[in-house]
Amino acid sequence: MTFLQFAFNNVKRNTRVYLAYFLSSVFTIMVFFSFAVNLFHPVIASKKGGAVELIIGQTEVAILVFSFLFVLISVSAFLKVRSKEFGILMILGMTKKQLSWLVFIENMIIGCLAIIVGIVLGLVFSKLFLMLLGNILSYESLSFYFPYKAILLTTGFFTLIFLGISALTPFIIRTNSIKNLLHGAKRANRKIRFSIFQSIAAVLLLGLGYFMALSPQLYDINPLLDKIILFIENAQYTEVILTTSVVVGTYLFFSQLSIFVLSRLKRNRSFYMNKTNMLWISDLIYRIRDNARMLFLVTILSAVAFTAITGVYALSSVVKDESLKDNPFALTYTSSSSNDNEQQHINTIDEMLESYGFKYEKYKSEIIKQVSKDNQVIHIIKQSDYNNRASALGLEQVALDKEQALLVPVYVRFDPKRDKTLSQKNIALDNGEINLEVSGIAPKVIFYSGLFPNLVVVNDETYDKITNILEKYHSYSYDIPDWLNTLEVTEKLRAKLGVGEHGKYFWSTRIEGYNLENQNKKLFLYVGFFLGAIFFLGASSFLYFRLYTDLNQEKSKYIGISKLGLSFKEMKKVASIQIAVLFFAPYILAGIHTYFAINVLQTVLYSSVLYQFLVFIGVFLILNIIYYVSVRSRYVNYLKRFILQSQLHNAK
Amino acid sequence: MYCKLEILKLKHIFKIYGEKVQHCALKDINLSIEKGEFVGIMGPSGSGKTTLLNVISTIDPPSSGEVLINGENPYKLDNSKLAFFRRKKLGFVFQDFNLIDTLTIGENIVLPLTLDGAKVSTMDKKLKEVASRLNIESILEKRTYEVSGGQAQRAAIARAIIHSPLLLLADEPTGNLDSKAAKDVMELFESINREIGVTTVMVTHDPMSASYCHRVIFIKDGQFFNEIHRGESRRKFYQQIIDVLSLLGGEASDISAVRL
Repeated sequence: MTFLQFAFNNVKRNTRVYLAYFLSSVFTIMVFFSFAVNLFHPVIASKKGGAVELIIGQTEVAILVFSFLFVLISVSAFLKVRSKEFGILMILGMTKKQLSWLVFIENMIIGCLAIIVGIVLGLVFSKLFLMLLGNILSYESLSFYFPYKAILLTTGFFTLIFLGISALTPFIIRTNSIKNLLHGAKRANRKIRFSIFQSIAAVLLLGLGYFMALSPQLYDINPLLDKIILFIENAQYTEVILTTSVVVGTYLFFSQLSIFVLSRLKRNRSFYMNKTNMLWISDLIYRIRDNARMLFLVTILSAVAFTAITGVYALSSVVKDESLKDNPFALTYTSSSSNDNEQQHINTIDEMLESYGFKYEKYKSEIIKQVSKDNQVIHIIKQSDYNNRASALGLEQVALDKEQALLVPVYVRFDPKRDKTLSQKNIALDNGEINLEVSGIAPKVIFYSGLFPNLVVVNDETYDKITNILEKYHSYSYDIPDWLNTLEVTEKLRAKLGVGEHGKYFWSTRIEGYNLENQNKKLFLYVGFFLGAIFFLGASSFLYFRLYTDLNQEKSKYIGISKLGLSFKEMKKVASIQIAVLFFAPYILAGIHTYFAINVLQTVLYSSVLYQFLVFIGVFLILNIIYYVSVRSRYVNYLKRFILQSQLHNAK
Repeated sequence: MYCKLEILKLKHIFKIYGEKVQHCALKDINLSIEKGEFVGIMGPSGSGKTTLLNVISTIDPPSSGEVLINGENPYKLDNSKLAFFRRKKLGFVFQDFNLIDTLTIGENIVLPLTLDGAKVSTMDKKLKEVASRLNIESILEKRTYEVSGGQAQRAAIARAIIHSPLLLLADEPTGNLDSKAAKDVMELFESINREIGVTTVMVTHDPMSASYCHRVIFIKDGQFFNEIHRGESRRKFYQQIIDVLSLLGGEASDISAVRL
């Protein structure tokens, strides 16, 4: 057996240990490669700087960063478990150099194999990935090509990762004391320590993070609270503070708070001393302590995975809703007084729509623009024009006095209390000649998001008296019931009218916004789904490895207690509770994190995504349960076998 | 002129553990072992016998004093030279065998040669020799979990002697074996010592195992207590060992009883 064969045997005969790590690596590499295939596709590559390049490119970077950490953490966990083996090898005369070399070869064997399998699988599925992307971008088809660039990129980067981690191994294994390696640092006897201060900090940090996430919804309950919320909103780096406090809080939750709570539970003697409670609680404290870092990682990874998948799915499923709200009309053409072609353009639009057989309803409005003394732009629309639009949009008609004004929001999402223009009590027109009292706020955008800020509805008579006119606009809005099919006609119109002419006219359609949003969000869904899957698999791989290695340490303990008269059924219960905690504690915490993360997302959306959140969290729960059931049954079976073996041994 | 060849020499070995609360595990141990000797180290639990073996094994440096193996102080070597030293001059046998689970029995045995970068033909030749001597040819292809404890310990012994070490160190080699397997293993140690002439130092608490040695050294509370030599009869030697142990245990058993 040469040295190389030795390393090879170590990998080959340890497949069970490495299995989850290997599969997870393969999947990650496959996704990275497939995205690279997309990115380097001649059609995509020709459109430099597009959304595809940006979104997929950044996803690739995220995958690389994740992979580096994933491999680093996995490899250091593997090495820690093998410390006794390394002790034996060193006492047999292995030098440190040889040990690093051995670990290096092993890593490279697994790494190279993962790269090869990942790329081959990626090639097999590349047609599918190209089809998905083509579908998202509404391209006819993205033809298959031989992706030598993607192969080079994937091989290069992942070789670097595996090489880099291998180079770090001497720092991971502490080879200085063979004695400690051989006998294993005695861990079980270490005293359980926790800090009450840090446990409280865990609660506070998680609370702070959740509060910050919820703060927009909590507004207007209590004046003091409002001040705090405004302070948070105006603070810089809110997202950074929020994320950091949740991440640190999660870490402290597992390393301190959980141990604190379990220790408290221990003090409740009637509960603690009841049957097998004592066994699982005292054991769980040690296991959580030893696995705090792993639980933390799994929680964060799961939270990111859940948020990515739920978030992108929610985003993409509400696109239609969002564009309907953003553009209450299918098409809006706006012309200023300096535009001589207004009537001609409108005729073109009408004819074109008719020639395509679209039924439509046209609403014309006149808007005056003026600038007040304090340099504020005001747009004014008369009541009859407003009511005209209101009837099209199903809003209530208004009847204003001569001295009254109605404010119209310019964005879909508005909060009268915090929006400066919408919180005006009085409106002064014509430099204070006309003074109006605000009687209310319209419930909706009536043109499209962003058009005509600070829009005021006034009585027709008042409107006619306005003298200070900076600009007069005519805006035509078309209500087209069959708007989803207007893309072709829009493209034709764009060819004729262009995008507009500065200061003269401009026009916007719902379908274009919808398409762009739709495409971007589908793209997000595409990358988000795979990114989420990578993270979720990574988290599962950590759990698998941890349980597998724990099993070896646990079995002697179980054999011991079984001799004391613990029945197999009781043992099964103890083991089940413990595994369940390790499986579901990260899941539940990650679910809560996701809920609050989705809440932050909710602030930029008009529609509720709670439903989508519940669906996905449910899907993940089912996946987790399946994973738990299968791992638990394997675990329990192993235990059963070991105990039967030991009983047989004793009988002999 | 007849000159005794000294393989192992310990001069005034002290070993102190702990920083704040110090505990003296070894106190002024002096020992000299000649080439071809088979020496046992005995003592009650906590007496420092395993510490002593670790000090000899070059994995636990003494707090003071000098260890000389074949006239050389291994603790003065740098890390890689020390590794070479272990690889060439020392052989180890442990209580729990310490075979590598991912390797077959045969692969485990040739491991020291693998680490040394020996030729495959040399490995095969030596493996064949040592396997036939230890009568384990039939299990060479088996994995560690497929063999019995006695077989595993034979394999471990084969691994410890395949590179013809100067000094064979054994830590409770029969501790995990039933009496039949323990007897086999001890006979193996004896025959290896006799036929190859490898100097052997063994730590044990089992008088039966110790009775195979030429000389048994007793330590107690980290200090040298007594030493007895074997005469013609192993049975007689066994009785002598029991006698010393009972002398030792007269005071020590109180302590060990408390510890248990």
